[in-house]
Amino acid sequence: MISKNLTAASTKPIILGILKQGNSYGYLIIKKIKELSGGKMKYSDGMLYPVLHRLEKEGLIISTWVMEDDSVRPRKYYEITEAGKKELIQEQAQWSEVNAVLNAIWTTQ
Amino acid sequence: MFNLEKSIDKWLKQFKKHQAFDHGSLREMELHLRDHVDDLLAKGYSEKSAFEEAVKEFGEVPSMAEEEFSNHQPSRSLVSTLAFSMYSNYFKVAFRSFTKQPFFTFLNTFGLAIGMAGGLLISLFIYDELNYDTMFPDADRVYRLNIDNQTNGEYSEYATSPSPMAAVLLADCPQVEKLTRFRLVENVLVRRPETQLNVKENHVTGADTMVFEMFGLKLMHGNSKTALKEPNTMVMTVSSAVKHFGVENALGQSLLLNDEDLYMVTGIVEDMPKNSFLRNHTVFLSLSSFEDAESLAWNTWRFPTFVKLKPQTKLEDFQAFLDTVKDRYLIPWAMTFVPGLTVESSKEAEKVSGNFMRFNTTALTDIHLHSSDRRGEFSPNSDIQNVYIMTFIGFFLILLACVNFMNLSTAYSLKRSKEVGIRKTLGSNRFGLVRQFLTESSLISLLSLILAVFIALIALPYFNVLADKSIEIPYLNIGFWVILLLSGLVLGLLSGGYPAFFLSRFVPVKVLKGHSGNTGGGGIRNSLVVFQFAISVFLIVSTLVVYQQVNYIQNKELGFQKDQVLVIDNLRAMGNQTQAFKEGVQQLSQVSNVSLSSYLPTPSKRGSITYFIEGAMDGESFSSESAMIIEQWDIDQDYIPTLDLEVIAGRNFDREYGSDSSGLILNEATVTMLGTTPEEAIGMRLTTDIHRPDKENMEYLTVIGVVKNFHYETLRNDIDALTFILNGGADKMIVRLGNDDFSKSINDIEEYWNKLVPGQPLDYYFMNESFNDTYKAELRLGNIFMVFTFLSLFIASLGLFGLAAFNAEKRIKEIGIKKVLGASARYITFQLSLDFLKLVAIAIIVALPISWYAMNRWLDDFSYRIDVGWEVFAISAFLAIVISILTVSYQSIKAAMVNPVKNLRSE
Repeated sequence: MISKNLTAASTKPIILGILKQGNSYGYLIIKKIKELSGGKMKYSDGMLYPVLHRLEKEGLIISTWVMEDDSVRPRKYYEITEAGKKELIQEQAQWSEVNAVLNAIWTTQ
Repeated sequence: MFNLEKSIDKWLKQFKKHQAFDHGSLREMELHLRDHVDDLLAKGYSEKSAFEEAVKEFGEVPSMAEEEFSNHQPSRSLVSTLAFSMYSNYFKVAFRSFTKQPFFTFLNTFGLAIGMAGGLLISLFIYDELNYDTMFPDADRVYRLNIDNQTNGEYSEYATSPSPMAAVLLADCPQVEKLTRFRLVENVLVRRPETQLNVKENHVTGADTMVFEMFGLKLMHGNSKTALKEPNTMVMTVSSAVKHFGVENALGQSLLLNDEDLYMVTGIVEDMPKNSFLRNHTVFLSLSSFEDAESLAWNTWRFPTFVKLKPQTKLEDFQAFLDTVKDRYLIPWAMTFVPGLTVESSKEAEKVSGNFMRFNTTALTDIHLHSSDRRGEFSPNSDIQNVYIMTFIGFFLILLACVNFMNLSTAYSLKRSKEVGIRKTLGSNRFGLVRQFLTESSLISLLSLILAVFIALIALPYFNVLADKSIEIPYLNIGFWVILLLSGLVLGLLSGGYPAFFLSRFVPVKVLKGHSGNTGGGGIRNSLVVFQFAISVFLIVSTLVVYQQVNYIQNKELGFQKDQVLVIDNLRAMGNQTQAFKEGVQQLSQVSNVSLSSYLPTPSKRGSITYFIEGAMDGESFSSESAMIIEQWDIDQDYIPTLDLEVIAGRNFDREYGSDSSGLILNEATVTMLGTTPEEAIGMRLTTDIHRPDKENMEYLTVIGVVKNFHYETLRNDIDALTFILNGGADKMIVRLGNDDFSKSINDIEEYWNKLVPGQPLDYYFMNESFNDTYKAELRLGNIFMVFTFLSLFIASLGLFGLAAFNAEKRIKEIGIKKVLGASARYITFQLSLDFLKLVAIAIIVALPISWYAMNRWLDDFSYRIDVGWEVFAISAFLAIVISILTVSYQSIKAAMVNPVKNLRSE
């Protein structure tokens, strides 16, 4: 089980990463995270929305309400912006560095 | 049984409690939950367990709300953004309510604008009046020297000083820092030496070289230190230079004064400030051109003298020095030619005779408003009284406009009572509402202000004529705009304050049920209407009384002929040809009488003389109790017939009688003073010849005639004692014309004048014009009252019109029902108008006694005055009623004529 703090810290790169693969809406995003982590990242679903809203406010993603033809409900789709993509690159670099440091430490032990 | 929809609703309610989630977020989360539930249902969960599982996965509300809320924080913390959005909302609502009621907004704005424009003009007037002579450097330290003098019972005030005063002050007075001296010059005739035609210059004065430094006047050409040093040099204003020479730089040019003295222009000075005592002066002659400039004689009272005291000097110290001048300098000078005179003996003599002569000062900045018109004054002065009257009028005008504003606002606010109720129900607090309404009134006020500036701009030229001023709007003065804007805002807040608090006081439950619409603020509104009309009635009465009095004065039988009488002034220009001119004019067919005299039966400053009756001698000398101070006019034999004075005893001067040179004609007032009758007065002998040492040879004048009293002073005064003696040397010719063709008569006279003295301007006017000049102040007061009466009536009518419209609209259902039940339109009109007439009637009852009292106080200044009759009050009341009926009836008739079905159907 991944700890709460680490989960919170990684939410932003994960969301941006998922959105980079294609536009999506809240429920689908959370579902994807759960699948990818094999249920190891413990999330309360609701906490996703404040994060999405914050990212939107920061201009990293934008949202539109879409009524899909095959669905009974409208969905609020999020899309990554150019700024978001740049932010994601930075995040990736940071996480890689952390990862590299951890690897270096642990391989010497 | 589990109900999914109900459960979802219940779940959503938890989020709704938190302001953090907006509608979009709530919907987003709801959809999330539904998606999740659908998925779980597909996996075979029951509805209940699917819902429970989804909710559990979704997580706790508080932590989410906190997270979401932190997203909002940055924008909320920006107070200015918040204030902006708040005020932009106020503006939006204000704009909506304006466009919703354009008629009301127009009435309100226009009424306020009229009041503000009037207030603005009056403020400019007062500012102009209060700032006379303040533009001069160190104006607070500059004083003019005066003389107060009483000789033989006649008291006179002079704005001039004797010639030696300047040297004495400069040498011996420690308080004086600077001093400048003018010399009075009568109007002069001016021409360029190479031309023939003279031009009259009315405002010429002698001045020393210090004048420019003292008053900070800048020379545009020439050197201010030396310009007025040499004799026969002059400095002229730039516009005068243009007038005489056609160019601004007239340096080195010459002008011939009075056909004899050639003066060279050594300086061109900028035009004199318009609100200064020097305002009209155009030509300054060097003081050294005048023979008496360095005279040591103390009886040369022709030199207006200004001193600048050193900083921190006490005026009392300077006055203390002035008090010593007479004993230290004047009397020693007099001792040189009056044998036996000492300081003590002169003091003794003054004690006996009551004569005195005192030096004192007038502060430069007090000259215009706080000093009487003294002899030798540079320009006619105003009176602080005028400032008070104007302040009073301006104050009431603005007050009227504000009252109007309050009245209309509160009335129309009732229409908005529902709005207030709903706002309050929705959680708006009272101050928010007050702010909203104050924003609206400030907006209207600013709008009015802009309109007022335009109105003032258009009205200014007319106002200048009315007030005899040359005021300009100080566009470039930032302070002016700031004050204007601030006073506009203050007015807006003041007049908006009452309606704002009135409106915000509404209790939501009541107004929403429709209660407040019937009664709110009616009492106060009514009393405001009463107040407005009371002021209007007061002003109507004042206007009528002032006009009646002026009319009375102008048409009063004065005891002499003032119409068709032409006065030709400045006969000095004729030299010794005066008699020839008189005889020539007499030959003209349309002239019936011609007389030569310097005295006109119109108010002016004339001296009096001390008479004694023969036999009033007390031993060797005359006792001062038997002295009579009487005006004495020098006239010729034609004076009495020309002016058509009535001789009631004895006879006029006659060329047949050689003895008439010692003859005397009295008016009735003098006869009364002598304690006798006209018939008995004939043959009495009086004397003015009391100073000669050989009393036995004293010359007496014998009374040969008595004329009926006539009004030669203003009707403010009683008719005083007056005597005529036969004497030549006149400066004016009085011509009575036989017919009405004045222009032909004047042409003929001018033609003859030009034949005798070519090039000299003929200076003439009609006597009734000069007579009207005397009452200029009263006429101006009358005109000002009339204009502002009209304005105040107009504003009051605007207000009444608006209120009537409101009233008719408010009672529209009532009127409809009454009509359906058979009331006639006439009855309804009457009913609606009656409400307002009651108020106007109360206003009249309040205003009449006050105006009666005030106008009687004003009239008390006049010896000859009208009695304020009941007609004035009747007319004023009638006018007020007619105006209010006209104003109200339009609305009432309109309301009464409407088809009742229309009114009753609409809801």
